[in-house]
Amino acid sequence: MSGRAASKMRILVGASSFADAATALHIAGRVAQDTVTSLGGLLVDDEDTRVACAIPNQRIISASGAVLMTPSQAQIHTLMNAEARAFRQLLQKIADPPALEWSFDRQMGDLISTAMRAASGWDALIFGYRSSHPFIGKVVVFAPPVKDAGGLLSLSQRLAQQLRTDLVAFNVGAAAPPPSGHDRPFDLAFETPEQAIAALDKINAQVVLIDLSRSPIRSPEQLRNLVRASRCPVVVLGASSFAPTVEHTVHFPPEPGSKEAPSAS
Amino acid sequence: MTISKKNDKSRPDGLPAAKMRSEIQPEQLGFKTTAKLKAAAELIGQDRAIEAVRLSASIGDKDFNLYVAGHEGMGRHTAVSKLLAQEAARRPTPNDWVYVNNFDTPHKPNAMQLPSGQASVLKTGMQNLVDDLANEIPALFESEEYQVQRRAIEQEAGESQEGPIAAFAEQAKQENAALLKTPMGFMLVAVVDDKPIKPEVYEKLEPEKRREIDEKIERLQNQLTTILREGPQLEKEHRHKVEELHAVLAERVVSLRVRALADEFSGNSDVATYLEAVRRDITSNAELFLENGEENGDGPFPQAIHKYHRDPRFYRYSVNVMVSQSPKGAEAAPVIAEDQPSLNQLIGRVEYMSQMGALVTNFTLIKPGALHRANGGYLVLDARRLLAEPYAWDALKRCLQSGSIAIISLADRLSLGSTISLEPDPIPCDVRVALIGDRRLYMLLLMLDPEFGTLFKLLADFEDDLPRTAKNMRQLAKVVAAYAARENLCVMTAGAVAALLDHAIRLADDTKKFTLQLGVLGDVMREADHYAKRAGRQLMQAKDVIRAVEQADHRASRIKGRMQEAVVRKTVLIDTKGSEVGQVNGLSVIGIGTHRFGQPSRITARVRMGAGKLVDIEREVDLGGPLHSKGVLILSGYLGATYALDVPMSLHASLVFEQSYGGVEGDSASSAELYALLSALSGLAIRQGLAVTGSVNQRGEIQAIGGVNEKIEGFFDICRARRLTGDQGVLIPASNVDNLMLRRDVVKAARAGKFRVIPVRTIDQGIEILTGHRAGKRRRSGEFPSGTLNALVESRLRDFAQTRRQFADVTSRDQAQDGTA
Repeated sequence: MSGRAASKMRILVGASSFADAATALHIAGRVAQDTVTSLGGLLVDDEDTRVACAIPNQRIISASGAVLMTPSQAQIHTLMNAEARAFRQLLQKIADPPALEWSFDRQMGDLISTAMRAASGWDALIFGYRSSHPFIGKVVVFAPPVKDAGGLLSLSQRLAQQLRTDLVAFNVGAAAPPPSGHDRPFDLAFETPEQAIAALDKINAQVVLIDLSRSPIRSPEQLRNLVRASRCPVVVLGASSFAPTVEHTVHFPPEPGSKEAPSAS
Repeated sequence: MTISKKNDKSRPDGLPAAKMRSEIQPEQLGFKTTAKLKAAAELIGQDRAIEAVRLSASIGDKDFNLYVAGHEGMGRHTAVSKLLAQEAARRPTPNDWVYVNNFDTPHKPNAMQLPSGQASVLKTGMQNLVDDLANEIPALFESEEYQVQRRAIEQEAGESQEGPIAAFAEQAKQENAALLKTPMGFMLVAVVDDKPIKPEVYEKLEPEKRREIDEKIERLQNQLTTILREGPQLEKEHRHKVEELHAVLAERVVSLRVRALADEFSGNSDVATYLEAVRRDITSNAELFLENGEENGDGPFPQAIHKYHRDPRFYRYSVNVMVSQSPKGAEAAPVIAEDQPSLNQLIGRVEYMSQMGALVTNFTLIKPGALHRANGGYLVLDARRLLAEPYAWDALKRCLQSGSIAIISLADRLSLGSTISLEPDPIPCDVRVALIGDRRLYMLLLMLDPEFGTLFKLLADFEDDLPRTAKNMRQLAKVVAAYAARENLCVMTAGAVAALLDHAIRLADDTKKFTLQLGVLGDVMREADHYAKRAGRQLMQAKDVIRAVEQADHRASRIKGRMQEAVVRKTVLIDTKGSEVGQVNGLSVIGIGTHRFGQPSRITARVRMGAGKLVDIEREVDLGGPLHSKGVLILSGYLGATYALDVPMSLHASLVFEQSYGGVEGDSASSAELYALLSALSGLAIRQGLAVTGSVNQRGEIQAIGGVNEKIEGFFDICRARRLTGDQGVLIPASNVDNLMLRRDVVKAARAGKFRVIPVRTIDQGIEILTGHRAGKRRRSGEFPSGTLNALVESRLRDFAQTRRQFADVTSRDQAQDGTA
């Protein structure tokens, strides 16, 4: 998986609205330059949101701070159709000029689990998250505890360069971060994933990258928290190897670099 | 009473040939050819006009503009331009003018004055400034220094935004609330069992519990609203900080470059002010220059040599040179001659470009007019062309009155403009205008335009002719020689020059003068040159000039030939021999373009008893002009005051130009009409071999007329076509003798005694020649000598009066008898 990140990739963008998808597609467009062969879109119609809209006296706060009435079920249906259409059009607009293959799908369910399920067979999954401000954020990478072989870090560095911003590496675990050098990002070390996620919550990030096949994020709940704390698109590599690994390693996490560590190869 | 043949004063010999054509003899000129003749100035005999031109060119008052009046082909344009150029050489070179962008109000570009030759320096300087900054500013913004500062700003702004949201998210989590995303925004929902509460669960809750949840959610919503509403303010602060950073960074390099350019124009406050505005604008619009850094630098030419100033986005820093004096030229004010003085060509114009179907413009599309180019000097315009151009005259007057050149298009003047336009700063105008036109136009302008006299205080009235003195003759010969040399014509012999000067005399219509229509003389010279060269000669001879003149006449004589043919074939009845009562040959001149020729007309008179009415048939049918009618009325005055003073005028006479189907104008035939009338009254026949021209006054004196040469030649041509008898000739006013410059063939016939030109001073003198009878002078007794023409006329008039009285007596007696009965 990591090896493919540097060569040709297939990217799936998962989002629960067009606003979320647009920022993810922006990142996908950046990644797509020279390295992508196929682009996919997945609009997840979030069940929790639909249900919450049915609660009496519920309100929606717009991005500009305006208080809006919640839509009816029929309005939600119409709204999601429009979102899907816009998502699809933007996907096509990005994929057409470089002649990429593209596909679009729409499913009901929880974004994280649905997208992770759908991501099997894709090299990368990008969770969309709408931008609430125009300030240029950092590129954050959850540095793999083992040798990266150039995949995630090089992608992170390329994105940081293209987005003209700083790259920050989160090192989670007992191992000390490698020394910062000329070609090394700015490193932050955390003992636990929760600490890293809490720190991420306070950072203005533009995109977060993580390779689930080599990262300390083990559970879907951690991933959900990571996405929520990022408040920006999250690029996930190794998504296809995530689910079984979580079940198997949840009680016995292997040491970083051990032979039992999950591998995409 | 007839006059004896021996003492026949009624058949005078006519003028000697020398009086009929006063030629210049080649030996009078004092040279053999024009080869070694020293060239003379073209302006001879125009001292008065030259004085006016020089005064206008040198006087300081702004309203002393000049109107140059005179005929076409007098060389006025050349002469005025030359005189003005002489004066211009004494005046300083005027300043340059440019238009630059008005950064505060772009639709009102600023005009800026620069020392002569400096406009192009500023223009190049600004181009270099833009090229330099287009390379340097992107490099500056790529620098680590900029990136670090920019990131710091972004981080600060991001944290300002993210911090409260993160804190809010944490608080929501602590209070068991979930922040959900919807396509429309965020939604806060209470959490039960780690899941967003479902509606059915919510409905089953105790009211107190529901209220508690509702209050919590509402409170959190209010907090989130407050946080999100601060976003725009944070963005604004962030934007200002970025702009400030850009300005501070750009300021360094921009100030450095602008200062270097300003040093080249030290002491010029206008340029300093402009460059300060440029510095401020570039500093605050540094992103204009950053676009270059994003462009692909791949290509055959490196970015560094790219001419960025040509990019439309940098037009705002261009310098539009309206007028620039060459620094290399000699010190002099400009003399501009505008051949097409339309409104735009005169005051300049604002051009437009088509962009996406719309017409747009900017200050670089302002184009100068003749007034801009002539500013500080002289502008020469053709008055007729100027007046023919819509609004050009009015615009010129406004510029001269206001002392400034304001570029206002025709569409704006007529309020027809419907697209973006500019209001450029008016440029101060210090120009002296010379209008070249004819005298009629000058009079019309004076009469119809009150402002004309105020703005054009000087008149340079070019003389049409030059007195024929020996000095002027030699001067004119030198002018002719200079023209021949300048136009690469053959060297002229003295004979050729003399023949040309003879033509100049003929054109002047006066043997005491030379015409100053140098353009016409030039045409003859070029044609004569052609004949000389075709004959393989290097010298232009008299015969070439004569041929050129004759050929010009020949080319224009088709209508003349047709009319003479009609006379010869007696389609038009003109007698050239014998005698007839009440019939005389009058002479008229017909003009076709620049060519004139004479044509005889038969004038007849018929008389009978009447009530003193003289009927001019031409006037009755509106074929006679006012001058002709005046001439006929003078005849009544002459008859009434000369004959039968003691009886009522009981004449009824009619006068007509026979076979005249066009109009008749002028009084030159009035003497002929009187001769016909006297012949009809006296019953004495008029010699038809003679033709008559000349006007007459109430005292019977013959007065001068125009076109005497053409009239004589016209009758001569008819007589010659029918064979010259020796009795033929023309009576002309004695005062026209000085105008005679007849053709050589006419003079030759006269010299041979075959044709006469007879000057007359009075009607009596003329009628004696025409009838061969003495006119007779009234004696002390009050009567004319018996048998004389006047006695016969008076007797006839008395008879008419007597008959009329008798007729009246019979009529009244018959009426009385009728009444008695």
